[in-house]
Amino acid sequence: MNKYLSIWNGFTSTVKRDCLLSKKNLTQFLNPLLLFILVSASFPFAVNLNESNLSTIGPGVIWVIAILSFLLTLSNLYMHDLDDGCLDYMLLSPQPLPILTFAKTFAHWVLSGLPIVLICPFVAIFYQMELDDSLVLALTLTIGTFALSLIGSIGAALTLSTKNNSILLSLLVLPVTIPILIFGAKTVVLYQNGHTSLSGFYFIGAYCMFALSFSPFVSAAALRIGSE
Amino acid sequence: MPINRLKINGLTLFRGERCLFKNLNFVVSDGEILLIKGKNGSGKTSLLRTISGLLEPDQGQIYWNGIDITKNRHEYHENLSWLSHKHGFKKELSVNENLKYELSLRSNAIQDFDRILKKLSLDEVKNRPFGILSAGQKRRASIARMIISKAPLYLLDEPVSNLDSEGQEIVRSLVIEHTKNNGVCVMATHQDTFANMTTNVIELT
Amino acid sequence: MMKFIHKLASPPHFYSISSVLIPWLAITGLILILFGVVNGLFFAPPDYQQGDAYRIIYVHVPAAYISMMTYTLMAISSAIALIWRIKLANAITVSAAPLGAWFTFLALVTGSIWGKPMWGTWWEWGDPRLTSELLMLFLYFGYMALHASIVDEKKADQLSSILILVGAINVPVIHYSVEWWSSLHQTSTLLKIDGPSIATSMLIPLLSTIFGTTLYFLSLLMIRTRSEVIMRQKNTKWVKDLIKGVQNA
Repeated sequence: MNKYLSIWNGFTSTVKRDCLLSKKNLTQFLNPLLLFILVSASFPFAVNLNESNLSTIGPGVIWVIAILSFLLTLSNLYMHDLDDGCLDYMLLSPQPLPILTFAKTFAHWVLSGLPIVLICPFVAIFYQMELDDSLVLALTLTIGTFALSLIGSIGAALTLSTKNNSILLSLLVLPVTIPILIFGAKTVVLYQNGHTSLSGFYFIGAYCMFALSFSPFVSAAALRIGSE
Repeated sequence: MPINRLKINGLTLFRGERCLFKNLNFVVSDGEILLIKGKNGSGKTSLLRTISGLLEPDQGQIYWNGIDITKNRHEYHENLSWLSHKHGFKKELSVNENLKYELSLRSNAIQDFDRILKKLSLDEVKNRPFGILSAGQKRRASIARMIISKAPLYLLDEPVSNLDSEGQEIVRSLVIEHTKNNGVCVMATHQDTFANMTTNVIELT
Repeated sequence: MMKFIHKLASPPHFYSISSVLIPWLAITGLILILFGVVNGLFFAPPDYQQGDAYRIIYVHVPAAYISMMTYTLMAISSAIALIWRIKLANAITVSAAPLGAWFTFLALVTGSIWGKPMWGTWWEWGDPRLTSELLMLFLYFGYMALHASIVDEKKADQLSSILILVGAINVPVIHYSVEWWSSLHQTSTLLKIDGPSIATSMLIPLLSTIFGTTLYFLSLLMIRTRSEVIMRQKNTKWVKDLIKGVQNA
């Protein structure tokens, strides 16, 4: 019992620490969000479409911009810990390493994914989307960004020892996110056209659960190998 | 078998084509210090990292309390504390916050560490961001972390680099006190400060 | 048995076996490909639906099959390298990657060329098989990029092996995507329980090109692995003796 309690403590304190760090580094926290808002806002100006077309492309475009701004912070997931030596302490801590990697991944999602989800109904206004459509969009983004955090954590751990790793990280992570992108955007479009089935959610949910089942362990293995 | 013993068996490590050490065998008992000496780049840090389990050797085993460390990582990590020149603290958080985080990861560390901070003269700066501390204060914070962990095995990688004589003295007294309490110290350094403290010396070339 | 496996995994032994096997594999493979292509282009009857346009099947199907088989091969050798630390397996994985990427590219291009007259479009984004095959091409690129950007060879091998294993789920997705989702692509014709549903006169050249391409691919893989093994083991005695032998000849 004590062992599980201490693992839970380890998880929560790591999440809290990462959130605290983000609070002290507010610009790093806000940059991707600002990017998300600005790019989503500029898109309708650049593309001269009428109202109905804009709301049709809205889900897909917002999804893509969300993924791209999300990827900005991904390369830093373990980089800061590598630079100041905290990674060694993570690897040497009595806590199981998958718990720590999952804690960091979860914290990353809370700090990068959740804000995007909360802002996207407002951004959807630029695309003349209805409120309920934008709420469905927000829901798909919630699950999708969580899956993205999980997959991205593997990518971040694999590319830790390379130079220019943010470009390589994008090359590794972006193709794998194509399925969620397709299903996520398609679910919203189907909802816009009147279909209220949950099948798209099943797929994204399954993808997310699948990623959850191996991401902490694979990230942990990659971190151990990368630190040798 | 005496408790808290470290045993190395046939340890071999290659870095690419270069052999750093081959067929290393030694035993460290309670209250002993093991000194790893050698010039920069001779493989001291690699040997220390291999002992800690961070690096996997090409051949050989390491035993703690008679158990292979690869079979019982969790317990081995509970029993060791690490100190390197990359201090491993977050520079935006205060010493207090950093140490509290370390505490939360261990199940049997010292909960009330204020008196330890006082003993290491870190009292006044314990609530300031770690980044503004001087090199000596940062090293003392790492030492505080070691003491708080209550681990029997101390692994120190170049503990006195960038320190003035006062700082070096603090590290010396830490090591002496730890071995007095039957702890084990493994230290990698190219300086001669600790040469007369022990006869267990490995010299790498 | 273990001795046999150990011998199989030893690089100098692999080097000597492969020098015998490569000519046989390559020549047999090329003959089979030639037979299949000539038969398929000139002697097989035209399809009742697609006319003569279906004949690209004799290039497209072998390429697609090899692309998936290579990835599976890489996944198996990555697992062997990670679990049993067999160095030859790393050499095989590294050598197979560019070949797999090329065959995937070939499969996508020939498929696209076939799709234009048949489906009216060069590409269809919603199609699961096309998307997952493209994803596999990116996985190959990702592997090669990751392996090239890590300096330490041992780390590079291990980390890229992890990448291949994580992406291995994609192979069954490609294969079963035509059954799980609605797709422009037709369903399985060859691997069915009650036998292939294709005319024998078309089947023979198709099987011939598939087997021929497989043998040819294996010979290419062995050639690449030989040079990779030599590069990796250039400081060992057997390689130095080999070079001396070549210099003295």
